[in-house]
Amino acid sequence: MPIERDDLKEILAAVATAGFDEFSLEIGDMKIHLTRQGAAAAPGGTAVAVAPAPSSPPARPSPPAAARPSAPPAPRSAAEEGLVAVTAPLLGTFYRAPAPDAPPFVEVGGMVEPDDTVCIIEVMKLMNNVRAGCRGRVARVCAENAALVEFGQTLVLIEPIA
Amino acid sequence: MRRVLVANRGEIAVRVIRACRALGLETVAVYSEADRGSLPTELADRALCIGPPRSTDSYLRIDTMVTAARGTGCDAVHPGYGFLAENAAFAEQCAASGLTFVGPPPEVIRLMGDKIAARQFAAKLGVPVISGTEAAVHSADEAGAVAEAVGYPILLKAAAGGGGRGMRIVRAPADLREAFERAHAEAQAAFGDGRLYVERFVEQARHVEVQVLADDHGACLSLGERDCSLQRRHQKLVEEAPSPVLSDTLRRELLEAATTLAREAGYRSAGTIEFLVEPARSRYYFLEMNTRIQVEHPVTELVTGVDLVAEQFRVAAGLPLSFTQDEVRVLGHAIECRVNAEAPDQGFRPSPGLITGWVAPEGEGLRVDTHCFEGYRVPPFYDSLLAKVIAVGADREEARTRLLGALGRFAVSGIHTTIPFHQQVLAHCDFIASDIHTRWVEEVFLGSGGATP
Repeated sequence: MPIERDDLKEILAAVATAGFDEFSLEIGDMKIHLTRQGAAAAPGGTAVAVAPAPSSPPARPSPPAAARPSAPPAPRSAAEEGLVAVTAPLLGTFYRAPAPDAPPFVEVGGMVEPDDTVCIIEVMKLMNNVRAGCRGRVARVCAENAALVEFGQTLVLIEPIA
Repeated sequence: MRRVLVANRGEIAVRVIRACRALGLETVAVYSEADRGSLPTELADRALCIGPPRSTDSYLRIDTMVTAARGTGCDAVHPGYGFLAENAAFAEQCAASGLTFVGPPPEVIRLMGDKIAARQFAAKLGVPVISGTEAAVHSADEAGAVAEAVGYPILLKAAAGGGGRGMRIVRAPADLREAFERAHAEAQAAFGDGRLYVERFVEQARHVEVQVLADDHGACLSLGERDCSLQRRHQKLVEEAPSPVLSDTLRRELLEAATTLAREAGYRSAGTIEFLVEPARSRYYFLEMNTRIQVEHPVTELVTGVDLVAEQFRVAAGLPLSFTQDEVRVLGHAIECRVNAEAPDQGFRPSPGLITGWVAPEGEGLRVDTHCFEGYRVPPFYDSLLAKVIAVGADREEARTRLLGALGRFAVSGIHTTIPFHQQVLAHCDFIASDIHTRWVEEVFLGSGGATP
């Protein structure tokens, strides 16, 4: 049974919402293995990300791209540059700093650790910290301070450093 | 009122956006990731992604909806049906955030959302209710005692109910315990409220509901009734207006009871009062009130010429209704079929997926409300409604013939739909004779191998 790209997207979207930490699928010669990033970590930080496990090679080149359920992705160029996108885990107001007169959480060029807060998304007075999710250097801040951001929108791009 | 957040998806989001356009209101659509690129997001002036596919993380999130509305400069929110439409906390939260909720006041939503409280409210006003419990029953034994008093068969229903969930017919005492436990568990899972109540089960009953509209200037009008007796597992499939089985006397009583209930409850906006009718005994009983625009509202629109969604906006903006009770005329007959993404020949199995071909019927006296198109992918996360096909005619037979013709011209490929089921139902002698009841589909149509009526 040939599997279409759209089928794959549907499967991935279903898995992403199903709450599994790991997922494997074999259809014919096609193998998919997914693990949720930070599966063991507390929920609520970065957006749910589904990525292919490094151990099993994807049968097609497309899965990693399709594996991102949030579709308005960082510009392709960002991905090509090897930058990692930190996306909005929920719709709300984007804030770069913890208070109006406080310095921003991150500046372009600054280093971040995975658990560092890079920004805040406010939803009805509730402040949600958004974590970097990886270690690296802040390459770009993609949203404007105090602007409404959509679910899945790219907020910050990070150049990962091992 | 200038800009409206449409807090819903699918065909009702499209319907609300169209009404807004007609009224010169700007629209903001919201969508989950599964609905990216869907028709409402294309039609609205602006669209926002509010979360992942699962509705508890997107369409059911009150905080997200309110933030989206405020962040885009909306001054009103239309909830559609389902999702947050009958959520009193949402209506309150909108008001607290300076947003006009296009619907009734939160207190009425809360009163009518508790089916036991609503039943007591109706009984107090002298509106007949089916004999059963005054309050919730907390155990199978308690339910059994009531059942003995009212007589089997009985119906177990969820206090927080709706959509047939948490509902069980019990025909004999031996089946009560299991039915009680299942209904309780189902209600708890669906509504977070496992409370049940008991009613005598009325055999061969019809479901007839009255459309009401009320404003803040003292008007509370009825716009005739709809007959929604054709159901499968308590889900409405075909609706029509007027009801083919009501006598003029019974109709008058029903409309009167409905407006009394709505007025006494302090209702505002469009609402529906549902009744169970025993045509043979000329009896009717209050079932519940739905405090929202309903799926089947177009049949009322086609026989009255009233745009119910536009009236909802007028009322929400503080304007009086655009007509009086004396000006309400029910002309002709309208029938609606709900076309779902289901395989009727495979036990109505859901059939999401890519629509590879979509040609909706057009013609005299026809209306199709839909969000589907060729190339649209029906997501597996939400209800299966694809389209409502509604036909109006001078009489029931003309409406039926037009609808049957329209279904024959409705070409959908790529997914299964309930179109063939509707064609068989509309051609069935029982439907033609209006000799049906709420269990007819299961007991007669499917029971007798409905494929060859």
